Amino acid sequence: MTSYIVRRLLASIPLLFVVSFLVFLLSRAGGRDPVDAILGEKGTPETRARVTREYRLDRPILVQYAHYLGGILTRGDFGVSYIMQEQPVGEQIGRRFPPTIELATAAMILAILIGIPAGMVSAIWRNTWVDYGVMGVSLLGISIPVFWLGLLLIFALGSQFPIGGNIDPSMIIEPRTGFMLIDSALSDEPGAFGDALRHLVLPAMTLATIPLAMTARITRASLLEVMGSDYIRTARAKGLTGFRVVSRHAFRNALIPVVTLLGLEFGYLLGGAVLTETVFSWPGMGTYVVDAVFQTDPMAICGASIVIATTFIVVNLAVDVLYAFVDPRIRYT
Amino acid sequence: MMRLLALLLSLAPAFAPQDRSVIVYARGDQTDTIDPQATDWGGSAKILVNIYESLVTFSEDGVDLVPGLAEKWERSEDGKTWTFRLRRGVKFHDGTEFNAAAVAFTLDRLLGRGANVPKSVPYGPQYADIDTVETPDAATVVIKLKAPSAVFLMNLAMFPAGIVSPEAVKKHGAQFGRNPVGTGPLKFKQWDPGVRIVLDRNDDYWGAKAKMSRLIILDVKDAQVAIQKLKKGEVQVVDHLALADIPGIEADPTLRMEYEVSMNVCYLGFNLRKAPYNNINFRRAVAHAIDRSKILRIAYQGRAEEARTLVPPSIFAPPKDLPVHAYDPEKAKEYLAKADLPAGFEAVIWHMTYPRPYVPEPDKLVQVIQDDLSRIGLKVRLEGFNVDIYTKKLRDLEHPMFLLGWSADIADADNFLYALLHGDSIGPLDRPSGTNHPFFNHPRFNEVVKAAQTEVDPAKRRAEYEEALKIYHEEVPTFPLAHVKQMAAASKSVKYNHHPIEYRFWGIEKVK
Repeated sequence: MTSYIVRRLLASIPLLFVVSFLVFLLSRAGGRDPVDAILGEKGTPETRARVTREYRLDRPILVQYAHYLGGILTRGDFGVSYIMQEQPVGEQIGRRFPPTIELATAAMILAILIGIPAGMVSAIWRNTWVDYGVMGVSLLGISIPVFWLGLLLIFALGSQFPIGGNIDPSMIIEPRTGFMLIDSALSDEPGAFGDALRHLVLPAMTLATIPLAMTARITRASLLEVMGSDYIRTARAKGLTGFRVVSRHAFRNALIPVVTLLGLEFGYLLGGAVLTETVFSWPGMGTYVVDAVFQTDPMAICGASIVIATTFIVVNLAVDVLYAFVDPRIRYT
Repeated sequence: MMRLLALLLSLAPAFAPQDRSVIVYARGDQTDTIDPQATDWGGSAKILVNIYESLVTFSEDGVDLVPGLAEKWERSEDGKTWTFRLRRGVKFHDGTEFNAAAVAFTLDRLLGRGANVPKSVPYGPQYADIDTVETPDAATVVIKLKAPSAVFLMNLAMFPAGIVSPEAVKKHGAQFGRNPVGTGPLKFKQWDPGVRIVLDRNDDYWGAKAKMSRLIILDVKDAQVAIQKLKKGEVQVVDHLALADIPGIEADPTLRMEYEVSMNVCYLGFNLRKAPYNNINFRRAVAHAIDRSKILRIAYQGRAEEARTLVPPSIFAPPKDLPVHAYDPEKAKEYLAKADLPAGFEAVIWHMTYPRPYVPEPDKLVQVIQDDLSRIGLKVRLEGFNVDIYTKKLRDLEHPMFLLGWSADIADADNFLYALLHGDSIGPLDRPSGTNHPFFNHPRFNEVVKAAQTEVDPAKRRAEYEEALKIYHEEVPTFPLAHVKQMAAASKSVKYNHHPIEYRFWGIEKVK
């Protein structure tokens, strides 16, 4: 198992090289003078000279890339975003990543807790009104545009829940971990944790919709397939109850495609849910990327893209490892 | 699902009751730094004027200058030496003393002198007429100018001249812009970039104290969500609105719209170095053909006033007898005939495709103009450009007619006439780099506008500007269209009087 993980990690390295190089190339493309692009409108002759030196902009693109990558690998230095607040990109991402992880995790928990049981119910009572109902609702969940759903939820539940940000703005929470649920629990502002939790409700519901609906559908399909196999018939022939057949025999085998799906979805969500985060002013990677794109900040776009790609690769690896636990037949050597 | 919903709903009530005097202000723009010398960005200026103060400041109506950190001042006979007596006993937010040395330190930063200068000082050139700064004692500052200036004091009131704490600048160095320390009515508490800026009341403030204990500037990108938050009472003021949202706000009994006096202008420019735009008959034809009331109705939905001339009336009241180009298609046709255009000529208007404070919907506006011009038989092609390249394109010698505008930095006619039309503002003639995009270079106009800069007699200065505006009318280098009112939506639970130049948040007050 360990050797498998190591091999997979090694295999990811060339992939990351390719991704980072492409992203880097794209951020330099577009015909703009890279100094202008990096500095925006603020370039005095001195800052221009410094940026040219700092990013080796007078050297060939490969040298620039090697220098940029070297900075990331040796010092975790993603360069400076001159356009957005003149801060190191690494620091900005470090602040924006935890809220996205928080939101994505909350959404995944909702998707698992509701999606899997819904899919099971649908499969067990196949072709009944329960099944039609669950599948109809899940089809709606997949089809509905999230920004619109977000606005709908704001109108419907906005009187019960706060509708933007991750904490009451008048509370001063010290960013110890960056995770608001943890920081608010540690802070001495009264009621901060509950407030952070309430702020999570609407964006998490919005973000959970698609993975939830897909989980329900895949769970149903996969479970139906497994239920049709011989060993299930054998189990039934032994006289086991329907519930035991599903829970002891069918469920675990049906989980593999569900785990794959959840892993992929989680990877996407960690990349920052651009629409949901924008609607709810969630201070995460999604809003960060939107700002970076609208302000055409190449350093920020490049850094964020590389971090998102890396996250995706790592989550995928984690999912593959998880298979082994779900299905004992899968052995990695 | 329903059970979960019920569970979630049960979490809902029990909002932590907010402190009655906390104000939350939602905005759509951002801040780059809170260092007054290091920025020219409007989204930063909004914050700066609440934390820092200058020697002098604008009166409530934005027109006069009143004492700020200086109690009084006097100008020498020759107009070149200014002596300021400073307010005593004022402390910076970090507890250090405000004194003459802090003023000299700040002006040095602004002029790029010494070791504590930020990486770039965009407004530096505006203060280049300062020669020396002397501090004979802790409460006196003597500033000597290279030449007399009528706008010097006005410049001192602008946000880039906000006095900074020398101790804090030395302590934080390049990070001062994230750890700002001034003397103003609000002091910095926290900045979570892209999320919020928190300012607390400065309880040791020398003047009238801030009305709230804490002010939160909240970044809410989506204007729809911002208005929902306003309706719910999560925020008290929203400063970025779509025109379409206004009727809904006006209809809500708990909300109201706030309009600010306009200190901007939107205009149609002509490239005076390119035919036929350099033909005065052509320009007059265009000026008479455009129906500004229709533009106000369609492109501004009534949220603007018609521009009689380039300078907004709130800054400089135009003389009663100043002629205007009234909407008159017949006259326009006469001028167009005189312009003697080649057969089948098609005029071109360049415009931006993104909203600006002075033009929320540029595409609509140029379409109205296109339509008006077609009525006098002038065919027009529209070409739109995005934010990256538009102003660069306008420095191109080959541009045709163009849509542009200007927002006041200071409430002075010079800020419009010099920046937008004086020959100096073109930059090098073969490689224009300035803000005079029509390339207007009229000897007499240049002369009177330059003279007004150093004229200290208000009556003479006024006469000079009146003459400049008459030349502007005669020559039509640009055609003024509209002055836009700045808008905000506010909850009726707060009182907030927009200041015409600065965002004075400290005056926002909760009422019953």
